Amino acid sequence: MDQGQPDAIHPLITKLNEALVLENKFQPHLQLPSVSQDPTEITTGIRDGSAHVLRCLKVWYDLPSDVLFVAINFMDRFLTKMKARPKHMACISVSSFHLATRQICQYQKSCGLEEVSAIPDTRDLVAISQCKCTLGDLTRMEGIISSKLDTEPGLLPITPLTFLQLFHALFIAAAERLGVGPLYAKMVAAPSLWLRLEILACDAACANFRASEVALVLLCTQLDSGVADLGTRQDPSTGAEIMRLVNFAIELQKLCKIPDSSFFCCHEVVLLILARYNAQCQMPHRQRLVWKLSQRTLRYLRPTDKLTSIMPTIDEHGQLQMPTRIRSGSVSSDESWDSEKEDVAAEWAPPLNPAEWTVGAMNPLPEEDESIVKGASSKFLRDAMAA
Amino acid sequence: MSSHRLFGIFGEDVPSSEQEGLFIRKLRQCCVAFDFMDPVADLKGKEIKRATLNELVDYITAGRGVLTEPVYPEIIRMISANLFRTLPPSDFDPEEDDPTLEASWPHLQLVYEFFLRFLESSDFQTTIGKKVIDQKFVLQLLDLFDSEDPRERHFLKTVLHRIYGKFPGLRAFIRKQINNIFLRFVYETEHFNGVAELLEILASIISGFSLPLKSEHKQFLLKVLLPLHKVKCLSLYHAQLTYCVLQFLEKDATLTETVVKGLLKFWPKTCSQKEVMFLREIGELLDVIEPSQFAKIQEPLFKQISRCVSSPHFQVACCALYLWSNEYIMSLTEENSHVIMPIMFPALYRISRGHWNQTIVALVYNVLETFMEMNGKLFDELTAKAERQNV
Repeated sequence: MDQGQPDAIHPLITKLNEALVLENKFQPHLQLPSVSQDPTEITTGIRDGSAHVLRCLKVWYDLPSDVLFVAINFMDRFLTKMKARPKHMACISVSSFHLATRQICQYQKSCGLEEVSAIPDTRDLVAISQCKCTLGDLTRMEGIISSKLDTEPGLLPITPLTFLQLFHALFIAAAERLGVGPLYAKMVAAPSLWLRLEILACDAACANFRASEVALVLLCTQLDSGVADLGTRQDPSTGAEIMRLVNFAIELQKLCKIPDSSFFCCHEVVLLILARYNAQCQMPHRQRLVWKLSQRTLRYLRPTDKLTSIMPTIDEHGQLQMPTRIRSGSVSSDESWDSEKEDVAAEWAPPLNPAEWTVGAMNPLPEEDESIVKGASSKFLRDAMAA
Repeated sequence: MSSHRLFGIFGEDVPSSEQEGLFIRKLRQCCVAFDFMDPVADLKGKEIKRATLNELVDYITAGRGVLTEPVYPEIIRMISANLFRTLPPSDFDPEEDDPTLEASWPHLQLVYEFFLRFLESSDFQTTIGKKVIDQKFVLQLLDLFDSEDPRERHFLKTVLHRIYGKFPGLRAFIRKQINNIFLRFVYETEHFNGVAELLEILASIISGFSLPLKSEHKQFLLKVLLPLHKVKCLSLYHAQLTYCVLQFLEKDATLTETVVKGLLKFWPKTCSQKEVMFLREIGELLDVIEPSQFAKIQEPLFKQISRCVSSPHFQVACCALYLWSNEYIMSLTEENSHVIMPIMFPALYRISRGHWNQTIVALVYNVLETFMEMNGKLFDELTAKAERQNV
């Protein structure tokens, strides 16, 4: 079949084998409960919430997918090694994120790539992510993570994305060789592939599966839905072509030494996660965000906050009921009506300060004044991180 | 000092049979006006009048059976003589200047107090009162709402509220006159000092409307209340106006569409301070909106909000973004994410690429993260689309 064309597959297989050798070194083994009465325990929900925040940050800073996978890998492996508290989760995840961007930037430079991802400014990252820790905390945490995981400058973790990229390239090459190149291209599109993998990475249910396994299962899932999309008007030849791709997948499964039982188990989990994503459900664990506004803007945010008194309701078909006046003749100020209290005119003292006469006049709006933050403080990071 | 009786000019005791006559004489005494522009003129006379007015306030408060039929017209005459005057011409700018306070306030205040005690007295009889408190009287009262003195307007507000409450026969007339005042204000003069006070009274009237709402009232909302948003000095009465609008919506939620469309129609195009007011009103409105009504107005409304988010004016953008800090608005957005997110996304994405103001950037991030958590798939689709369009 390869009439003298350069063998695209072989180098990829070599790379795959290299990745497989290193796979276990970067495998997390999360042991997080799904629910916990203990407020000091990190649950899968908390972990997933953080992962989604990282995903949002990735989009925000316009960074490649790699950043997210490396960051989540750091985070999960750190959680595997250390029993951390929920209040540190934000710091751990954002530090992992920053560490990931630095590592990837370094790696890209060392590869001599022209386009190198920008590393987000740490101060900016702390502010935007609302990770509730200081700059110093973040830097220290990065150091701790780096040291605990023994990160090396030139070596990026092997993640499901590593394998997915390899598998995808292998499939393209194999499909070309098998004469089903266009078919594969129609069934599997790259951007949505990485996207779906990101969704899987953000779910703790996938964290303990082998990276190669998750990647291959996703690719097969994509092939399955590709087949469904092709519709029932398949002719026998398309069926045969699809079988070639399926067989190739089986080959890869064998190569990666993924047992059938494990593969099917992973497949179930992946389908569940993708179904939830497609159903466009709301995420169960949302970050409690702080909405920062200046004093000036917050004052009278609701126009009716300015109203100090409300007059008693007058029924359309009734009379206004007046309570009997106290007969002492002294001016009483605590009249109470049927509905609300009303300022008795006699008691009202006009504000003598002229500045208060101009009720509601709005002054020209300068830049924001003092900011007030509705959320928590930023005191942080004890040595409770000790192993 | 309370008193169930009036005393003669020399402080002498006056028998009960003559109290009514004395009352009337004192009322007539108080019809005499004094010149307060000259601070030293007639000090003794001013003091006597002040003391007499005080005495009358006490008398009417504490006395029983003092409101006999003959005194009603005398009371109205005294009140009219003191209150009804041509207000001095003014070029007072309520947003900039300090008001000129009423010089004769020492007397006026007591007259107003007296008036209020009169109306609120348990002895007050509407059947007799309506003979002397007529349309002509009410008209003159309404004119006084243009007084620069906020203390006077405060009394007038309470007085008119009581009159409206006690005289059902005058209600339609009062509503019509207030209509006229507002329409003249909106479409001709843009000047009237008593808009806020009149709106306060209206709020208590609106909250008492029976259901189903009469068409006349709905027309009032559409033709008067909504156009009141147009005026330049909206800030002077926006709180009261918003409250009136909210009262209407509490009565009849189906009016929401009318209200929102009206606000969108009058949306400020050049004044950012007004835009901030409108956004805050929308915020209050959304806080109580019914989901079915929300679905009806979401598209045009969020198109406007998207424009506000992109506003070069920092506070406008802030107020627009801050809407999503409200849990209820958040949940409404989530229920209708497929409509709202595509409308909001382009502006949010653009700002995320770079904006000079850190507060805005942080708020945009919050909204985007919220959207992502609301509907991850749609978020991803919109991001991909925005990236394609950006390239």
